[in-house]
Amino acid sequence: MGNNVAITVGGSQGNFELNVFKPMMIHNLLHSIRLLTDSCTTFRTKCVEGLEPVEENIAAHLENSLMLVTALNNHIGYDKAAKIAKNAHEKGLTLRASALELEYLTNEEFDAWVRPEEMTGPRSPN
Amino acid sequence: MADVRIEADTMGELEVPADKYYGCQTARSLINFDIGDDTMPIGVIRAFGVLKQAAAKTNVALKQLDPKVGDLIIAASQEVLDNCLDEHFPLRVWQTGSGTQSNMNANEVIANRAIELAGGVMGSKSPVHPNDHVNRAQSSNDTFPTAMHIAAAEAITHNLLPSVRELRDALSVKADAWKDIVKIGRTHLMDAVPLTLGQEASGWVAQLDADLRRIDFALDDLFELALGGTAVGTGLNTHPLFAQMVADEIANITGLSFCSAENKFAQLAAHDAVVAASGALNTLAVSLMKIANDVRWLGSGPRCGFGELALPANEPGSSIMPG
Repeated sequence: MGNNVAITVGGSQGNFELNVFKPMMIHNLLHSIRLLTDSCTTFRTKCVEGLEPVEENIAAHLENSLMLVTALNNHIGYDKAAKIAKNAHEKGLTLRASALELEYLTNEEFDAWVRPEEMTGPRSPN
Repeated sequence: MADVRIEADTMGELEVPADKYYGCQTARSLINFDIGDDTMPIGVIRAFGVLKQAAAKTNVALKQLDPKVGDLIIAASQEVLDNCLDEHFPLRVWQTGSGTQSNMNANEVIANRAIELAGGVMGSKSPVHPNDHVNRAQSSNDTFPTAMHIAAAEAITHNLLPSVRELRDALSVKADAWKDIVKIGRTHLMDAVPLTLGQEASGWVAQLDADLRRIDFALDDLFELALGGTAVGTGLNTHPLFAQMVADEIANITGLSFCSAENKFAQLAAHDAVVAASGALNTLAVSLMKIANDVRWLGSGPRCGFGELALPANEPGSSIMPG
């Protein structure tokens, strides 16, 4: 990114029939090509290929999240859903406990509506 | 002194190292531009070998150069393009802004190596003259931009693009493997609605796909060459067919789709193609930073961070914190 700034300045400074920032421009361009080439290779071999998901942490964060409440928008409306989330946040409750305490829905409705695996794409209403 | 020889140019005589092929103008540049220690990249030196050889072949074909002299230049420039004579190219990046001295460096090295191959005396400029023969139908002002494009296009094609594609493919494998892992999304660093880890990684893959398209697009501009424009873009001192034929020859030597630029004035006076290529690389760097930061954050921990990704353990990491 720094090389790009210098190349931009050099490229903007041609006068009449000749630009005279040529050596710096090609030096910086080749430097960037080399750095990016090597970075992509080492990033792949030393990091990306060995990446593994830590599924228990991923699941714990998912379950703790209050934003699963968004799934309720289409059933009880944004305002009630927001109250469930705020109530849960203030009292340290789960979304389910908060929803039941406020009596906005039943245990069965919660199970049917709050399903993270069904929240990862568009879904036609039924 | 046995370790120097005397060479002459239009400014007079100068001592040059006996074991180097370069001559007066290179030696003068070392004195006048004793600035820093960044030397001309070897990709540019190879590119000069490519274009000098292509020019000699073209000049012979157009009957503008004695075939015997041409053969000597072709043989000497082959050694330059194979990067066998890199030690004879000592010049700094911080020289005249047109790269004139690097062009003369190439002319001097190829001429003296050709003279040596012919059994002549280095520095005698006979039977091969650096300006009249090696630089025939050329100027620094069209050779250096041509070398810039050759060097950049070769590095991008042979090194950068394969490396980016391999990274893209490795991320794509992960995106597929992680397609059923539902995780929490984060916007403004705050909890958001869920997505799959595969969806998150597919965004990284798409960024790199777009980067590859942008680099390919920039490459098309780099394939256009200035050679044949000579000093100001008019083509003074060249045969009418030189520009087209020399570009074809460069394409032939490199195996890349080089062609003669329609307008040589722009190629000498501006380097918009280099700026555009740099812009494409800049965007790639931005994408890589985003992807790498996501991986860093998701891999933070192991006990006090997000801890959603486990990164390979490559090194100890800290000199004071054990583990």
